[in-house]
Amino acid sequence: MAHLDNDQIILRLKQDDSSCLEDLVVAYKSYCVNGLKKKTKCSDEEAEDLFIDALLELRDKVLSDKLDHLLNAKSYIFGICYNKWLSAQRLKNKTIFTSIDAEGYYQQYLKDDSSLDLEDLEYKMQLLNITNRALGTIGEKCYKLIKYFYIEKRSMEDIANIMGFASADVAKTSKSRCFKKLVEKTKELEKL
Amino acid sequence: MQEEKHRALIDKYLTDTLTEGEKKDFILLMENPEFKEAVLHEKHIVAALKAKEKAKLKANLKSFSSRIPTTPQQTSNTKRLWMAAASVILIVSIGYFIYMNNQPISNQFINYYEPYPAVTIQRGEGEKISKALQLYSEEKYQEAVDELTSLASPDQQAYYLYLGNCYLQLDETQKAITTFEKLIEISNDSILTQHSQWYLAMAHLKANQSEPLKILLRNIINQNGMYSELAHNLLKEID
Repeated sequence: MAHLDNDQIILRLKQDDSSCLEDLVVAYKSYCVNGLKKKTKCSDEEAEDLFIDALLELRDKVLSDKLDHLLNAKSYIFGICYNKWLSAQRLKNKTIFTSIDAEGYYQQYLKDDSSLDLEDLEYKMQLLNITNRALGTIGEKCYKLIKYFYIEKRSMEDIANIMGFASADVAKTSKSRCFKKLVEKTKELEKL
Repeated sequence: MQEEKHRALIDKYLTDTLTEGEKKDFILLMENPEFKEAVLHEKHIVAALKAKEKAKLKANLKSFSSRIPTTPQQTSNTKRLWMAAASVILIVSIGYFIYMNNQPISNQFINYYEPYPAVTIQRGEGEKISKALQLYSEEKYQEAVDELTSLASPDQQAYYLYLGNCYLQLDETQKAITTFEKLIEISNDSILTQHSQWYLAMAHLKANQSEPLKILLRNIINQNGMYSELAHNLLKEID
C-alpha cells in the first residue's frame, strides 16, 4: 500500500475523503489493535472499536480545525485509542464494554456543548429518536441538503454543483425549506 | 429581511462559523426566550443528525475493518531475543551467499530504464506546458519538476508520467513511486496506466524493493500489454 504521508492525511481528512479513513485502517489497524490488547488486556472487539472511534475522533479534530499538523500519525492514533480506553475505564469502572453508537455520540455532543443544558436528559435523548423519525419523512434530497450544509459545512455553491441546483441562491432556498420541514416534523412528532 | 438575517446567524451558530462580531449579536438575540428555545431545538436536531451520521460512518468503517486482518501480535521479549539472534545468523549467512552470487537488483535499472520520451512541443500549446516539456527534454529535471508539479492534475494526467520520470532522474525514488501510484489510481486511460505501471516498476527496481517489484511485474506480464516482454525478462533476471 502507498506510504501515508502525514500532511496528506490532514489534507484528505479536511476534504472529508472517507477513503483516507479506510487507508488508515489498512495501515495502522494491526499496530493499534495489538498495542491496545498488550497494554490494556482488552478484547479484540474492544480494541477494534476503540481504534475505529480514534479514527473518527481524528477526523472530527481535523474537520473542526483543532488539528492541522501531524508528525507521526501512527503514534497519534494509538495515543487517542489509549486515552479513549482510559476514559472509558474511568467512566465505567471496568464494567462490561459497550460500543458507542448514535445514542452515545448524541449524548457526547450534548455534554460537550455548554449551550445545551443537561436538564431532563431523558427527554433530550428522546429527541434523537424523534429526529431520526422526522428525517425519514423529509425525503432523500432534503436529507442530503441538510447533511451537506449542517454536517459537512459545504458552501451553497458547492451544494448547488453537487445537487444540480441552478444557483447557490436556489440551493439556499431549498435548504431553508427542507430544514424548516424537518423542524416542524420534529415538533409534530413530539406532541404525539 | 430581519428574518433572513436571523436565519443566517442561526445557521452560522449551528455550523460553528460565527465570527467574533456575529457572536455578540447572537448573544443579544439569545436573550429573547422564544428565540433561544427555537435555536436550541434546532441545535438538538443538528446534534442528532451528526450523531446519526457518525454512527453510520462508524458502522461502515467497522465493516471495512472486519475485512482487514490483524497481523499476529509480536512474541515475548525472550523469544524475540532468541529469534533475533537466530535471524542475525541466518541473515549473515544468506547475505554472504547473496553477496557472493548476486548484485543488488537496482543494478538492472540501467539496463531497463529509458526516460519516458519527451513529446514534440506543438505550436499553440500553453506557455507553461511548452516550458515544462522543453526543460524535460533538455534534461533539466529539477526545473522541470517545478513546472510539472503545478501542471499534473486529474485532468492533465500525462504530466504525472513526466513528473515521476523527473524524480527518478533526480534519485528521489520515493516521490517517483508516489507519483506513479497516484497516476495508476486516477488514470482512465489504459495506455497511460501501462506506462505508469512500468515506470512504477522501474522506481521499485531503483529502490531495491524486490517484493512489490515482483508482484507488479507479474501483473504487467498477465496483462499482455506493451511492457509484458520487458517485464518477463526483468523478472527472470531478479527472481
